[in-house]
Amino acid sequence: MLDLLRLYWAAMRSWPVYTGLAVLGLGLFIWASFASYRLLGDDNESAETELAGPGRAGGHGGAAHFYHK
Amino acid sequence: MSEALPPAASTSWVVCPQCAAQLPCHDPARSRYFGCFECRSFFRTIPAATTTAHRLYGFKKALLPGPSLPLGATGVLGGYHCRVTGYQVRGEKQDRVAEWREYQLRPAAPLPSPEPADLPLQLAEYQGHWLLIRRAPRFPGIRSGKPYREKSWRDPTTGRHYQLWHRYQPLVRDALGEFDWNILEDEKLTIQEFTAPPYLLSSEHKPDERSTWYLAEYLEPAEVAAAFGVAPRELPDRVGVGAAQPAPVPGWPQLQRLALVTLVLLSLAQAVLLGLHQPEQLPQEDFSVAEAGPAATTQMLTSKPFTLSRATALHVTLTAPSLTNHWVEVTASLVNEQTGRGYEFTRSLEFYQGVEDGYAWTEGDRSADALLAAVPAGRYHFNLYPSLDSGAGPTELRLDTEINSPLWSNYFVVLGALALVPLLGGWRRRGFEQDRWANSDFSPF
Repeated sequence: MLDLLRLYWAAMRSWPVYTGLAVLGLGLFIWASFASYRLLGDDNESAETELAGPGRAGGHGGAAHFYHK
Repeated sequence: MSEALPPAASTSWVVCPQCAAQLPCHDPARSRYFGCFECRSFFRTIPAATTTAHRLYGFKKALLPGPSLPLGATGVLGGYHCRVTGYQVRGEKQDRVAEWREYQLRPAAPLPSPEPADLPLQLAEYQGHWLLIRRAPRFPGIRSGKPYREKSWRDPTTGRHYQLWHRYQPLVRDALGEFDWNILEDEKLTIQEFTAPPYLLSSEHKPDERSTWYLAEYLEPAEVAAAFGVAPRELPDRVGVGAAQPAPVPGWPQLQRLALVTLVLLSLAQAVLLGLHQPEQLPQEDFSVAEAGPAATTQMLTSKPFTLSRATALHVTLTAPSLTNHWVEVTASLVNEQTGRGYEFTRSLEFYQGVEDGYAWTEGDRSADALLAAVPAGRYHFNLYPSLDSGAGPTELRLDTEINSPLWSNYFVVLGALALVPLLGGWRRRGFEQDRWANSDFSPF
């Protein structure tokens, strides 16, 4: 086991940039998974500050529709 | 270079029996065979003795470009201070085109007795690729008198895996300087070469004799030039890939190892995260979309509210199961009832079918999906704004929502990014190895 760790430590020292990339990639993956964040973007078409509802003519301003019951 | 370079300072002289030219001898204790740089005669004599010289062979003409390293030049190579004492041009009996140059190196300074086991040293140059050759410390164990017949060998000490590169019988085409053996006898040899860059293990086998093994190490031309004080431009240009030339991605096995561990860790993380965040299906909801018309343009359908306890990804599927030969466009808005924040997407569902020339056809899809990622915790509902094709009639619209949807795309994005470097490295190495093995009859490609 110790030999194996030594082997990987030597490999990490041989490829420091790739090791950094791997740590960054794994960290990013775990963070994105916990935050349910999709790295390639999702299908949400609304802007960050936009209120609900499509902004087309004669449309339905989202806030007006909260009380749907 | 078109002619032999002038010899350096020497300790003794021998006379050519053919043209009476005086040839320098730097190692009179050992050298017995000589190549004349005036008449290309190859002869045997004992320096500083009254013995008659015997002409053994006459090479027809000087072969171009001649030695790149001057005979008599000294330099430090392989840990020894050595002198270039002999030069040969060699070829193969089976291949009249291949031609390389070999330089005999003898110690230029006194060595402890007995002489180190890795001597003598030789330099070989083929198409601008240089090898420093010495006696092999380890080689395959074989029965006396039999040549090694396997196509590979793994050195148990270093772990190097040597692969058969070449088998041939040598021809001597030209020789200059001094030698301590009859180089013409080498034409009886069968030579095998095994490559494990930057090393090349070679065996010389004479029938009914034990094979002699040598280990060659690849040298950059600049190293050779620096060792002998020669300008690099005076050495032959490199052509193609050398038999033992190191591949362009140094530390490749380490990178492979590192990439493998990283990808295993990534897959493990994905498996754990899938276990922690199980997908959950919300109850299916069905709506009726009114027929197109002035009233239908303003219709809005609202789903039942639901609560997200943590930030999550939603996978939404819209289906119009009875839609045929019409379309419906739906704008869906996920509304946070506490903040008013909206997450919106639009999907078109269209499905056409018919029969043409006796063949049934269909086009389009009755369902479409969307993924909304990083939706914060809160109470939500969907507002759906459908637009129906004229003449479609009332149409059923189904909404399926899955929360905690696994984000497989994240896994593949990171996997792709982390695999890119090893893949590019592997691709470069493979191309390089293919070029290398293109010169061998034993190519694994």
